[in-house]
Amino acid sequence: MVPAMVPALDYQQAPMLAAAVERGELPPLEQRLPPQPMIVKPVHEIGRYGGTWHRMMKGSSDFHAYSRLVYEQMVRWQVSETGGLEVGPGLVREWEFTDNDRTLRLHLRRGLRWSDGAPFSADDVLFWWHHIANDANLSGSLPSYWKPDDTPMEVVRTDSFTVDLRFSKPYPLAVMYLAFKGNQWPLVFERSGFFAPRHFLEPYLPKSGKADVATYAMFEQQANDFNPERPVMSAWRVKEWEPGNHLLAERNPYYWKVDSAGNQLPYLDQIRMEIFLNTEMINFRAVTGMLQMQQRHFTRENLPLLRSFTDKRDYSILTYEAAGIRAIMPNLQFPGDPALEQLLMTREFRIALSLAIDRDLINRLCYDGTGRITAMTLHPSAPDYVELTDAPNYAVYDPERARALLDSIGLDQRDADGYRIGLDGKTVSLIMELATVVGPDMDAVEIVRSQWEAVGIKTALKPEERTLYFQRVAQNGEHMIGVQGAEATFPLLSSARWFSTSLWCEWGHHWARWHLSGGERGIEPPAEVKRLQQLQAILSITVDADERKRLWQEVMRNHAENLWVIPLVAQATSIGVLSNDFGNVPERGVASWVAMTPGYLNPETFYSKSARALTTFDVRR
Amino acid sequence: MLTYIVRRLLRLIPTLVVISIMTFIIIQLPPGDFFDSLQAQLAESESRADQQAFDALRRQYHLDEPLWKQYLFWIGGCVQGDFGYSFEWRRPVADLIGERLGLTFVMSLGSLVFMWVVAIPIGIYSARNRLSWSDYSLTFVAFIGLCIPNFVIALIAMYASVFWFGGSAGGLFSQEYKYAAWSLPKVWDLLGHLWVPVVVIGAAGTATMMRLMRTSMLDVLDRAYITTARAKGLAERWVIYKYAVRVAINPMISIMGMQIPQLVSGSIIVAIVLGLPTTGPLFYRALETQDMYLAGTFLMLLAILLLLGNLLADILLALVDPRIRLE
Repeated sequence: MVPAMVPALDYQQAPMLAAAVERGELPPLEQRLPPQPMIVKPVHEIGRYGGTWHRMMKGSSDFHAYSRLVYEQMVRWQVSETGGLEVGPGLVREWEFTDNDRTLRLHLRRGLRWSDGAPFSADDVLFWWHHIANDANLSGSLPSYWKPDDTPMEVVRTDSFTVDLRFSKPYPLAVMYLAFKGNQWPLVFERSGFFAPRHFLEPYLPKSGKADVATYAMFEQQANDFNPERPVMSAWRVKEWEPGNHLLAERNPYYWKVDSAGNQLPYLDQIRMEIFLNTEMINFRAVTGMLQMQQRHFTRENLPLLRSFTDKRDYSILTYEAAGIRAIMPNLQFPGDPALEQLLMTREFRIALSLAIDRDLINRLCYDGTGRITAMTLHPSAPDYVELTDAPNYAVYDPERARALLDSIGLDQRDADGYRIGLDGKTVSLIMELATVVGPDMDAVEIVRSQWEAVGIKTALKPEERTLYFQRVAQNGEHMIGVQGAEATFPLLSSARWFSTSLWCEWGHHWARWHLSGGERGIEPPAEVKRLQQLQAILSITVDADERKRLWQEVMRNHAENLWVIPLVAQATSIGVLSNDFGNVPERGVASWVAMTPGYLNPETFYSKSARALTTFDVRR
Repeated sequence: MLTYIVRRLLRLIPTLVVISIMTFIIIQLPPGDFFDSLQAQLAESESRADQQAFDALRRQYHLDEPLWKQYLFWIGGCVQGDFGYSFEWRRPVADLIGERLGLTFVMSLGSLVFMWVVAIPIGIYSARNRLSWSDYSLTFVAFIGLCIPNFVIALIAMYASVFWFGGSAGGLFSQEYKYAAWSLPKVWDLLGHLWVPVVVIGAAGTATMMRLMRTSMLDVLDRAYITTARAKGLAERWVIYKYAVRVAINPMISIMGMQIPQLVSGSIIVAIVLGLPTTGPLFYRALETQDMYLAGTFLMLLAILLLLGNLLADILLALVDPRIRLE
């Protein structure tokens, strides 16, 4: 059946593209847009064309500073009616589960084009699957989320615009992963994705025999996100990449989204990223009013400085909720000292440590009172959000009870300095290890240290270089107590600190190793932790929403009762600057790396109220 | 003279080989490699890029080979002008450094000239007016220059430019020329910005040289031959410039040999603070991320500069001071 013709004459384009069409260098807009472009309703108003978005990034391993702006997934996170996050359409127009929830059928939008004008189809997904995801030279192994239960999914092309993902079990998480990992491969060092431009990359495949000397290194170089030659599906494409200096991206003439008035997006002509090394530099740039919208790389301690220039330089402070819980995680299988291991494993000891912390004080002193005091619970923006009911709450300040608890577990003897002596006759001495933290987060831990000392527990802080911390936690599990953030909006997608199923789990590294190796290595966890590990597996295959909420209640209660981790303060905000000249930036949002903030807030609709539109555009190839 | 230079040059070769080995060992000293530190960095944002993906990359860049093989691989390339590949920037190291070397040299040379032009005359003046109020005040200024680290001066300069003059902070170009191709106005714009880092980097060196020149001059001015020259009725100008300065300047020349690499490495922090597009920030970043070929090449470059600087100073000294030539 032929779909009803939608009149295309209403669509408008940016002056720079109109000029190129006039010169005959670009096909007319109707031929560049798909028959039914995706319509994005700007959050405030219809914008105007033009403007350069100035931002800053810190080296190329800070690639997310750019990639979060051009995050174009198969499906995407969008703001739901209740203000939470849900999965909405993207490159995939609609999707459905069939075959008892074991097959996910994806319907791609028809008539989409890459930024070089070549058509986008199911073949680009299949190309990624066969030649990238399944080539050990490029991917090492298939990402774990595409092989639930250790069985790789099957990717089947039904027709040019329909792809089936077949799993051995019901796998509702697949849709979330498409919103999270459904971008163009490789996302620089992230090395994940779901599609790649077949027409462009195929000649560079080492096995294709098409190029004279095709190597994997050359393939990587071509596929890399910073390669200006590489076609993209996103609103902007890289035009210049000067390592160490700057990155310039320009609008994609084939972008397939329009606003509700029919204007082809994006509004902004360019994105200019300046590469910096000194963190002061970004504060200086911000107070000159040069950065229209950036929430990356600012720290709370610079808030007064940023605030003092808001009127003079015409910008405001942007605060988005951070969807993480800062948590203190004792290594419950601490290998360094059997007596300490036993002590850390004592539930009452952890409860006492938790009761000794005055979170309210920390919140007021370090986070301006913007944080929230909570147990390990989901953030209200979580797709599975449910409240935790009838569970014990140990995130309260009660030093008297803490002292009594410590006395009751046999730590009632004190040494000459007043510190408590353990059951082995030695002074209990804790070390909190952190991956080089500065500012308020460091101050918060410093307060914890003094409050633990106040109840008689000797405590030291040990900031470590990031790589060293990584090695101690994730490779060897030899740290004593780690301090990190735990994702609270999408715990299933970033599960390290929740379920003890990842080697990154500070509180259960060796239990996770046992779980991952099927009981061959590591340490066998207690029944409660086994249940947590099991719950993650069940959650990842459960489709029914009510059942999911019930399961989440169980997870949260498990954490609340056992206190595997000691939560500190949750949902402190992430801060940034927003120029008053910049429109369509939502006042509220979640700073989440899973939702690629500000990627999910439709940066293609951001616009400058004063900028003049560029009129030059060079068409390559 | 020529055999002296050739002999000195030949002696550089074994020194360089030893330096290259030490360089390579030093950049391997921190635990893990580039991909470990990258993984740690990604994991901090709770990314889940997995181990196998990184192992595949390691194989691609030969990071899984034994250390001596990696060294031979790198040094073999260096001899042919291929300094390896930067993991972080995904560019050949030579391209990355080449882009920035020009500006670095302009800045360093500028600082060197600034130091000499300011320090020598003031040093002479101070010595001649020793213990006068002008000597004291110049000494005071010199000590301030000596004791304030230059990155602090850089921060103050940046603060002043942003808060008092409303200008853009740091950098070597104005916004409109920053990304433009080279042109006459751009060069002019560069000169307008260049003096800030030149003065900042040169400040401490100027202070040191000022003091040295003063001491050296005082030393010479008390000598008998100066008294003789004066007794014979030679004009004071001739006594100072032809007889005193000529001898007093020798220590400055030997110091210059050491100053060349110092200018390049010492400017790193200033360049980071001021956000300059020179080699320093790139070097620092390479050390931080364990981008080993980039870091190694920088270290080698600094070592070569030090050796060449010393050689140059020795040759200059020999030219200026006939006593050395005779030995």
